Amino acid sequence: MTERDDILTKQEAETLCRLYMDCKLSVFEETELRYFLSQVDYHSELIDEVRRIMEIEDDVVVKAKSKSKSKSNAKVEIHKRFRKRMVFWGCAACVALVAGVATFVFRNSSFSSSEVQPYYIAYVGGTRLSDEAARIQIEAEKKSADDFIKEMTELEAHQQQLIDNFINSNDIKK
Amino acid sequence: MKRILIIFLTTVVALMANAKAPKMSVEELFDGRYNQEKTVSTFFSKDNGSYFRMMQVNDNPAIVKKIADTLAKDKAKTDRYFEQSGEGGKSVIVKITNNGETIDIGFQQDPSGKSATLFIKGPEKAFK
Repeated sequence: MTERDDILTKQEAETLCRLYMDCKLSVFEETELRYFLSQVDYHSELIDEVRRIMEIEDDVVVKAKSKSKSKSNAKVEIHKRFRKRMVFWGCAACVALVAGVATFVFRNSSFSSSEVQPYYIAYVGGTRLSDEAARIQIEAEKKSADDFIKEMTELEAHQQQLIDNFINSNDIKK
Repeated sequence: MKRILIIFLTTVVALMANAKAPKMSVEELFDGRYNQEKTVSTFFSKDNGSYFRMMQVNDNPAIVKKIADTLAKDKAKTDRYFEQSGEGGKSVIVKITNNGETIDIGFQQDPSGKSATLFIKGPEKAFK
């Protein structure tokens, strides 16, 4: 038809338009006619009518495509939101798991375990003492440590008292 | 979402940090390295909710210096300590509070600097 475009007369165009109106053209022929009418400046009641119908068809196709696109966008948005939620809950689950493991490890550590039996271990001069000997010696050492703490606490209080007295006496002199 | 996640993570980290046992440098001296040392006596005990460690050094200035240097690190971490030096030697008491309980670290050194005693004492709860 491209070769014949140049030679189609207005009457031939009207004939084709009539066939179009009667739905007797194939899809391919309709496309060719649409292209032909957009290129020529033929006008008649029938030709203009066909042009209007073709424009309406175009609008409908464009709207349909746009609707389809917006539906597709909505699907993408829903997918993104779903992914974000999955990431959030994944992170939350990981954090909860880490916290759980940390708590478990902490509770089972040597310091925190309340199941650890009392023990007394002593090494004197590079030799380990028996449990009983260690217990007796450690009890004595604990007492000496308590005495030391008490002595230092009293000494600190005494020193603090001396400092306070010194400050007070200076304030009185002023 | 991000804000909630950050708040949640911060809370977990804060709780974990709060639950962490106090890190004392002097405690590392009781890792067994001096158990076989002739000039050192070491004592370890845990009973009735009480935690106790003691080390006595006789005529070993190198170890005494090591202990004094290690204690200085713990002293720098707290403002609750009392120190006294005189003819009888040096005495230091350092107090560390954890979980509402107090840990006492005591150190006594003779005037020659060759002998010393170090101890760590406190309720078991304070070490958790």
